[in-house]
Amino acid sequence: MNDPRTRLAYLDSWRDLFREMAESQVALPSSLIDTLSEATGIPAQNLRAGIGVMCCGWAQLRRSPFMWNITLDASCRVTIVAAGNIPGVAVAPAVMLAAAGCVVQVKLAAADRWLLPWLLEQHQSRSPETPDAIHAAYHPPDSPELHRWLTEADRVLAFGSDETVATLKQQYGQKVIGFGHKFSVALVDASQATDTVLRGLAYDVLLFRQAGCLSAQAVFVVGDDAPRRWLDALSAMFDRVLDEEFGRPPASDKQAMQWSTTRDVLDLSGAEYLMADDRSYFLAVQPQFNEDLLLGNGFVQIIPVTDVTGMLRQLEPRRGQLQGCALAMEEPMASLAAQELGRFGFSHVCPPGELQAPPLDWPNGGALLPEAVFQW
Amino acid sequence: MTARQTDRERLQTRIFDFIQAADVQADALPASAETQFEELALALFQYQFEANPAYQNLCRRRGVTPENIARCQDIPAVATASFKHVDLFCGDPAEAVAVFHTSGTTQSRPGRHFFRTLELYRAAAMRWFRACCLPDVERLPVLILGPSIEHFPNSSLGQMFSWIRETFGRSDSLIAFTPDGMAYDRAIPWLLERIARREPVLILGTSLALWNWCENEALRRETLTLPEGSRIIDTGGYKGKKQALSREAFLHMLSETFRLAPEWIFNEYGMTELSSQMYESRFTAGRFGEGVKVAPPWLRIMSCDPQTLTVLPEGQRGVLRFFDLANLDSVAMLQTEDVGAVRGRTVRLEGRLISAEPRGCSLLAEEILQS
Repeated sequence: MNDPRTRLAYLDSWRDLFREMAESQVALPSSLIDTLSEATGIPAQNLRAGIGVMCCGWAQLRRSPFMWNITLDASCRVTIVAAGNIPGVAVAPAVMLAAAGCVVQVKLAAADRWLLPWLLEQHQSRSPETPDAIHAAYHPPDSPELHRWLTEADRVLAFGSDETVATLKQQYGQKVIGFGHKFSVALVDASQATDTVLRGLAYDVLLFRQAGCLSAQAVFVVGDDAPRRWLDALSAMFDRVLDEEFGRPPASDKQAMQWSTTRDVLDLSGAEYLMADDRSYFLAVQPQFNEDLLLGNGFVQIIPVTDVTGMLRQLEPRRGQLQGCALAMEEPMASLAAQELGRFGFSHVCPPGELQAPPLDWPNGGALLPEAVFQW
Repeated sequence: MTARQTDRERLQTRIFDFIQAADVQADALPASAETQFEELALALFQYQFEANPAYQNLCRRRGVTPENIARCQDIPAVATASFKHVDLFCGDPAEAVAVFHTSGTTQSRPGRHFFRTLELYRAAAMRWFRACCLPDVERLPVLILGPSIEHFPNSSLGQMFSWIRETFGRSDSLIAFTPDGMAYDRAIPWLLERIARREPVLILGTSLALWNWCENEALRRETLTLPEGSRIIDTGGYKGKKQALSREAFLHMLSETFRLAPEWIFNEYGMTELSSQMYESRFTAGRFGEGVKVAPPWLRIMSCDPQTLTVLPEGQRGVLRFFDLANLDSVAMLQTEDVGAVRGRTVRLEGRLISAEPRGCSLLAEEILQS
C-alpha cells in the first residue's frame, strides 16, 4: 500500500463502512453487542448508541496532509495495546497506521475482543482486493505471543493508565508511545439550555458509562448565577435519555459505596447535588473544578465560571490530561473559545453530543498518530 | 469556660466512667449498661450535632436532629473517607492537642482525625488491650516493630503502640522501627538476650513489618524460640505486598520464624478514624469464638447493605458501620468500606470494597495487565 491512490482507496472503503454503520445500513450483530455488554458492564442500548456515534466521527475523514507528506516506511511494524474501558479504542489508530503503510498488530483487551475483528471481517468482505494490514488478537498479559509482538514491533502504542504506559516503557524502551489518563469537559453558555444542548450533554456524559477519555466529567456554565437550574435541567434530560435510549445499569456495590461517600462529603460541605435514585447519574454543583470528583459512572460536576479563561485557569493543574471539550455558545464567541481551547491543548472541540465522534484522523492527545509514529 | 465546653467536660467524664466501669469479660452488656450506652450515644450525638457544623449539615439533610432521634442505630453515619476532605472536629482544629493521619497514597491526601484531649482515646485503647491481649500478666518487655509516637507523631497506631509500651512494657522495652527503617541489628540481640533469660516478650508490629522479617534470609538463620508466655500482635493487613497470603499462611510463617504457637499471635483491627479497636486473640476466642474480631462494650458494630446503607440483621454480610463512644470530638458514627458479618460485639471480616479510581481513557495498571 505504498502509493497514495491505494491508500486513499483503503481509507475510503473504511469510511464507507463507518458511514453505513452510522446510518444503520450495516448493523452490529446483537450477539456481538450482548457479548460486549456482558464483558464491559455497559448496557447493550448504550453500547449500540455509542458505537453508532463513533462511526459518525470515523466517517468524517478529513484526508489530512500527513497522507501525502511523510516518507513511508512500509516495513514499519506497530503493535497497539488496546484498553478495554470503552470498545473500539484501537480502531482509528489501526486504520490510520495501516493506511500509512504500517503492519499493525492489535493486542485486544479482554473486555473488547470482538468489535475490531468484526470490523476487519466486514471490511475484508467489502474490499477483498485490498489486503488488510491489521491483525487483531487477544493474548494474555504474560503470553509469549504478546511478548513477541511487543519485542518485534518498531513502535508500540499503549492505551491505558499512566502506570501501564510506564511499565511498558520500562520493559520495551522508548519505542513505546503512551496514551495515558485523560478526560473531557463541556463549556456551555447560560443561554444555551436548550433541549438539543442538554441532550448532547447527556450523550457526552452517559455514553459508555462515562468511561472514555472523551466522556465529559464536568460542565462549566458561563454567566449563570443559578447553576441549580442546570442541575435540574440536566437531571431531567439524563432521566429521559436513560429511560428512552440507553437503559439504566445497576450500580455495583463498589460504585454505590463510592457515591455514598461522595454524598457524605457534599452534605458535609453543604454542596447542592442530585443523585439518581438508582445511582445511574450524580450531578453536583461545585464552586471550583474538583479533582477528587473525576468519578465516572455518570458523575458530573457543574461549575459556574465567568468566561473561558476562568475555566482554563481552574483546569491548569490538569492541563496535560485534557482531551475533548463540548462547546455550546453563540457565534462569534464559540469560534473564539474554540481557538482558545485548542491553544490550551484540547484535541477535540465540538458541539455537545459529538464528543465521542472525533474524525478518524483525530489527533488523540494532541499529536497526529502517523506523524508521532514516524517522527519518533 | 463556655456552656458547650462544660457540656463536653461532663460528657467526657460520663463516657470515661462508662469505659472504666464496663464489664469487659461479659459476652453482652447487661440491660442497665445497654440503657446507659443508648443515653450516652444520644447525648454524644447532640453534642456533635451542635459543635460540628459540617456534621450538622449532613444530619439536617438526612432529616435527623437531636429532637427526632430515639436510638443510637439511627444516628447518621459519615464515611471514613470523608476525613480526607473535611476537618470533622467539634470546634477549631487549632485547638486540637493531636491530629492523626490516615495512610495516603501519593495521589490522595490523608484523612485527619483531630483530638481535643487524648484521655478517652487512651482509656479506651488500653482497657481493651489489657482485656484481650494481656489479662494474665502485668508487664512484659515490649519490642515495637512498627510506628511509635516518638518517631511518627501523626500515626494513631504509633500513639497506641507507645501507650502500650508505657502502660504494659518494662523499662527495657525497645522501639526498633524508625523513619530510617527497621533496626534489625538492635532488635535481634535484644530478642536473643531475652530468649537466653527465658523472659517472655510482647512484640507489636505491622503485619507487613513482620512479613518482611519472616522473609529476610539473614534473620531466618537466627534460631529464635520465643519463651513461653510471649505474644505477637500484628495489625494493618498486607497492603503493599504483591502476592496474596491467607491469615492461616501468615500465622504459620510467623509461628515458624519465632517458634511461637499460633494461638499466641493476636490480631488487632482498628483505623485512624476510630478511637477504639477490636482484637482476635486466644483470650477472646474462648468466649466469642475463633476467627472473629471482638469489640469493646463502648463500640457498637453494624453491617449495612452497600446499596442502601440500611442496617442488616445480625449475621448478614455487609459493609461495616461503627459507633464509638470514645470518638468524642469528631464523629462517633462511621461508615467504612470494610465488609463483614456482625454478631453482637464480634465481626467476621471478609475484605473491603475498594472505591473506583478516577477514570478516563485508561484502565488501572492491574486491570490492563490482567486483561
